[in-house]
Amino acid sequence: MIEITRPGKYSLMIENPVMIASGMMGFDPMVYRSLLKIEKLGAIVTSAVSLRPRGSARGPRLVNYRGGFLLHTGLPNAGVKRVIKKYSPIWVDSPVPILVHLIASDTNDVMYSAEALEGAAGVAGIELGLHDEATPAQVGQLIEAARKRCQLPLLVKLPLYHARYLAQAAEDAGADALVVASPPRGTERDAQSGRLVGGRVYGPWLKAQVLRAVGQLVPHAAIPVIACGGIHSADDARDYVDAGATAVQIDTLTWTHPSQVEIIARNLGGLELTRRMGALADEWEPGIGKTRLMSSYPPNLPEFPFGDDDTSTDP
Amino acid sequence: MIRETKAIIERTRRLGAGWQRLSLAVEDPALEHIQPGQTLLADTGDYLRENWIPVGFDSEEGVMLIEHPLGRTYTPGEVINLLGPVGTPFQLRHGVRHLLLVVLDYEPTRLLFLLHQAIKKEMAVTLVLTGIAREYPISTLPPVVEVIIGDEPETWPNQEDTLTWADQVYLLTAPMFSEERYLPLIYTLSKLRPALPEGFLQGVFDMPMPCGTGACAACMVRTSNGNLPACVDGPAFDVTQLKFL
Repeated sequence: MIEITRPGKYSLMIENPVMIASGMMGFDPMVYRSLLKIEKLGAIVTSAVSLRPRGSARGPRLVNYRGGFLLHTGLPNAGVKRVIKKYSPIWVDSPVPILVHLIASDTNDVMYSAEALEGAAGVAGIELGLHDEATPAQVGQLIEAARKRCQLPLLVKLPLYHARYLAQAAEDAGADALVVASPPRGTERDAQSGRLVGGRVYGPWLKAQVLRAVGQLVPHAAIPVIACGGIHSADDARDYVDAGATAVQIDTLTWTHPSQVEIIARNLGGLELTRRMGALADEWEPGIGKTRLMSSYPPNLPEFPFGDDDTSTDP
Repeated sequence: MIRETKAIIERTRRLGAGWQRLSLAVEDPALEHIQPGQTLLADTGDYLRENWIPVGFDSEEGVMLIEHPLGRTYTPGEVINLLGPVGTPFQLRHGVRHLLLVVLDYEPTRLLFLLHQAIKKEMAVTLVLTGIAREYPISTLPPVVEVIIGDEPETWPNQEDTLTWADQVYLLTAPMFSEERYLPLIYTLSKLRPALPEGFLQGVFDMPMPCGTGACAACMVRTSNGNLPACVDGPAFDVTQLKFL
């Protein structure tokens, strides 16, 4: 078992370090039962909920571009109470813990939403999604609001480019774990409508940036760090674990190649039965997959994978 | 229930100047029961999957037929990873004899499976094509289909006659134009038929579907029953229940 929150009375343990990121399986993860074995996962984070209902965004919502896509949905949901009423019976039967992603809009909304989730069956924890412009003071207030009437494990999802800036405030205010990170926002032109569309950007390229942020955060964090962004293979996930992440969340691979998600979960959970080459069953352990060149890498060469030591202006 | 499976492209055929038809041998026998309205999400090399729209089955060769505009070239023998079936089958109202399919300035592929199935059931089918839909090679359609070509994107000759004649209407246009193109038709129909039966006027939403399960919320359609994902509850919705505002 892996403890993905700070130790304590209300800590959250999962069986596998591979989780599903918010929004990737909607509110009813059982829809994915025909595509992958959900029980092989560690936990699932639902789509975003808010205190009041939210409609879907108007106009173009999706822009494809080389290597990824931009998505702007408006985070539609029926409001926390209706969501709980409709999906709580499903969450109760889930073979893995369900965490509800809560939009951190304002303190009152967060407080009442967290209170509603506290009493909801099948909710194992809350993931609080901070908006990109949140300040450390606001982060503190939002977490305190969530904590006021709710004792569920509280994960705080940080915006990628402000993760370092907000992490300490989140930890000090009582977050049980940090999720790094929400994908950044971008703007791209929709070919069909000819309009510029703003939204969150996704793709495999995200991993390099999130990995750096995780590597920078982990040495300073006293609470678990969960990595989220751009995982498309077991090696991607292992890179995050090597950088110090306690667990990982898989995002859009869930949509593009759902069976691959199960393979990653089996792999990191030591459950992978077969490999592509038809090799015998094995279990991953640190060191597997290392090449001859890796082991002969000169030990005295400097390595700054996550630091700011490289001051050169070269690309 | 959506599944992940594979298919082999057995044959590619060009249709007219700008279309192609692929014959697919599908691995999962469940996909042989795919219905008009349902689609497949194909991994064609781009990051997100592409919506592949079946237009029918070739029962002699045992293959599924897919049509889409020319663009990417496919080779026989190519293996394609698929997710599907996606969406809810089109629901024909009980006792429909006259089916009107209207494609307003859009690719008509989404309605072709329904067209072929309706003809098999000996329904009378009229297909209206306007704007870029006129570029579809109509010579590939069964001769029993009445094809009406409209010069304007939003209207067609004998519009009132065809709307009166029909027992059910399926409308297809670019989702971003659904409001401005469906609302006038509702208005016209309300003059012709004071009590519009439920499900009589179906609007088809051909939207990008990154997940096919309703999770991503990219294909949400606003209806009087709330926001519904076109990839699960659609692609067809009763136009009178759409919330355009």
